[in-house]
Amino acid sequence: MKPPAAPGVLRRLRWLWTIGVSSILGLLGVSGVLGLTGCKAEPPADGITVLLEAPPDSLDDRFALTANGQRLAALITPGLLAFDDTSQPVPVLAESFRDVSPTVMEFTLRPGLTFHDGTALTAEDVKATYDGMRDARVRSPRVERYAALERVEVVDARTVRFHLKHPYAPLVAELSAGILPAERAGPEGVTAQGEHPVGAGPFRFESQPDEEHLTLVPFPGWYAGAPALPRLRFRVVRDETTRVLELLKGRADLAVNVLSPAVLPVLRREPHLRVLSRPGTGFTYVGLNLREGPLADARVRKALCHLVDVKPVVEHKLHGLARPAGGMLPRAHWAWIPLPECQYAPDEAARLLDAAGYPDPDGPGGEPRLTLSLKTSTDRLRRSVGLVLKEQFSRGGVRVEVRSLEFGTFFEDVRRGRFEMFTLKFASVMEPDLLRGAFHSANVPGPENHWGGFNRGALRDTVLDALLEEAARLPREERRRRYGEAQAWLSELTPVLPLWHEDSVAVVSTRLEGFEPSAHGLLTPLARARLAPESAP
Amino acid sequence: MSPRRFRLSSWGGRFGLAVATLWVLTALLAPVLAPYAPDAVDLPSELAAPGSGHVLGAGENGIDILTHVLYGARVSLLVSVFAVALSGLIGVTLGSVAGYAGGWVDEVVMRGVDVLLAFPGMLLALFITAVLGPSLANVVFALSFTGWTGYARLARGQVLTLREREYVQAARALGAGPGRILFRHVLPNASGPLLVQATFALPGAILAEASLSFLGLGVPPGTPSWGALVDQGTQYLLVAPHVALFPGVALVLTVLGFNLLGDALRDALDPRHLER
Repeated sequence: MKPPAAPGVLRRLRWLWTIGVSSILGLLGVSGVLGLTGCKAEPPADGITVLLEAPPDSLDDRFALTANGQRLAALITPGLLAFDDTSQPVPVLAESFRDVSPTVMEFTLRPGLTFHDGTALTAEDVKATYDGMRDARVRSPRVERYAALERVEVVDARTVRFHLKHPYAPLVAELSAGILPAERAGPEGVTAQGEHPVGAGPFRFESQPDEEHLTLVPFPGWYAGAPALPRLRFRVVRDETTRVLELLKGRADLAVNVLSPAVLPVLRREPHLRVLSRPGTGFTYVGLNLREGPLADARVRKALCHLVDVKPVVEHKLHGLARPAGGMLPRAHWAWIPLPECQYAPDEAARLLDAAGYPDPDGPGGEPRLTLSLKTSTDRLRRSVGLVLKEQFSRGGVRVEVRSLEFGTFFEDVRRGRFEMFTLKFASVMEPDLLRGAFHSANVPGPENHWGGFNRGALRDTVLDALLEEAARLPREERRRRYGEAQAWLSELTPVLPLWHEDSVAVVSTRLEGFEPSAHGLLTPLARARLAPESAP
Repeated sequence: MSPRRFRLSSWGGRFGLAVATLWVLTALLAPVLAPYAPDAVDLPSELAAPGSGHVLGAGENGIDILTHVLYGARVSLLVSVFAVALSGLIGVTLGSVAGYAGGWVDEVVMRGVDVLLAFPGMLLALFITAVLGPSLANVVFALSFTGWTGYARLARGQVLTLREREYVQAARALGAGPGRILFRHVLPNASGPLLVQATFALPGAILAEASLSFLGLGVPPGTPSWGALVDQGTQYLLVAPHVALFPGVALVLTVLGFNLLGDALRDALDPRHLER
């Protein structure tokens, strides 16, 4: 007797498969149609929704280390100063400031400043804030930045003086810290400030039911007048596709620097959305390990620079939303000088590699001249850029193995010098003293600085050290020349391969008017924005 | 006794066999069939829709999707075949020895199996690849680390049944040693269920490799893999759905094909369905 041609299990499976596939295709079709062609949600009329990609680590400026923490803290607790798009200090709570002497800076507060709780903001609060910041019991991670500050003196209710131990112009960058009420500035106020922050900013804290939601409301006592937006709702949406859908469906009104360039064309096509950009201050680069091996030779580093072709990456991968970089400082920065970018010149690269003792063993396409590894985080853009660099280096006979690591592992390897090359980005470059942090030989990560130094490639150059030390001591107006010399010398040394400065990109709904993205990706322009007339409650 | 004949008379079995054959041929001939090198970068074509130049479209950095789907078959073939072979070798050896020897050997091996089965397999594989780093060898190791337990249980069960058969007793009476009995008389008769187990394990290994690569813990960056391509595509579903679609279809068809083939093999090898 013959067995059945199709056993029962297969017959059942066939039906199951047919029904399953049909259902999936049907669902995909329906959801696709609904998702991409309408069914827009009605946004809440009493404010706007801002998308974040990650929750803020803290709303207390003393502890906020992440970009989101600092951006939100700046809305609630602004400081004496902020920095404009050219990274020049501009007064915020201060009305004016001046150098009394090379070691004394004086700030005059605006008249009539008040905190969100209605109490007056005076010079005593400023002093208490900076004294608290330096109090070991407060445990602020920023405490070391104030090492040059000797004391804070209250001259009168609106005037405060910062006395420095020695001339140190970069300290001005640290005087943007959020000013707190005196009773919250000490260790006993840390909990209250963390749970319900109070400041003198344009928006005051309303609620934060969980780490993914935060609501701020305008502060009528803001020195420049109450913001026009009735409410700011911040929502954390970790997945990029979901963030795009939220904007497409009209359930969000603003996303700043949280969308990759590749998805922007979809958003540009939507009539209810605008994509705004401005040259940014972030700096993307390839870090090189100068401790030993081929990269200790400047000729090899320069050869790599001649193998990198930045322009097509900027044009096609970043959709033009970046500027090729010649150095760490962006073009708009007050201390910027023109420097040669990494220019694709394979013949020059070959000459340099030959001179450095890495000849091509068997002609183009065969065995490599040398093999290096490039570490990246698992961030999609960084990993993808790593693969482009791998292909570009391979054209010059340099084989590169790209290793993508979970961020914690990756960053620990970078700090400990366990790399040959890596890609990273400085989120925002404001104070040029960052050059000293990144390239001075005293800042090579090691046990003495708890592996926290930024000179991760271990550049050691006495000429550069002297230039950067002097630049930090000079009066502000004389620093530009010294930093120019330092940047030119750095370009010769090539301790990193500068890639680009990414633009600051904001996707804004037409409900929101008057919002202009800042070069630093800040949210403070919300204080000047308003709801479109037809959206206003 | 008349010779046994396997039959793959059902449409599912034939479909499965066709998919398996196509999969193996694709994997072997990928360098010939692929229009581009797998590491070729074509930035101006990044995320280009299917059309001239890139038949199935382009992905991140302008990689050719067709090329990566073809080479992805090679990676999934390598990983799944090696993982299944290694798991089978370890599992069958340990399981049959445990079943034949009995006593404390059986206890030790089977309690080891119980311990490994107590861990969620995928979680353990994730842990192993996270610690060792992404590489094909590490993926094979991670999948084999837990994959052998199924074979061990099956082989032990088969050996426990077969070792009491008359032909085994006859071999023993003729003076054959345990090794000869096990490998010449017992295991050949247990091969049917083990083969079916391997056929079912293959799609499991393909999916597991794809899952690990989807999570960034499988193959190194730039290595063509269906899972890595689907992962890449999920980011661009709204801009370039083809990036996830084609490797997804390849994955679904291959896994479905092997499952149908496994079903058909099981039925074909089932004594109740054998022609005599």
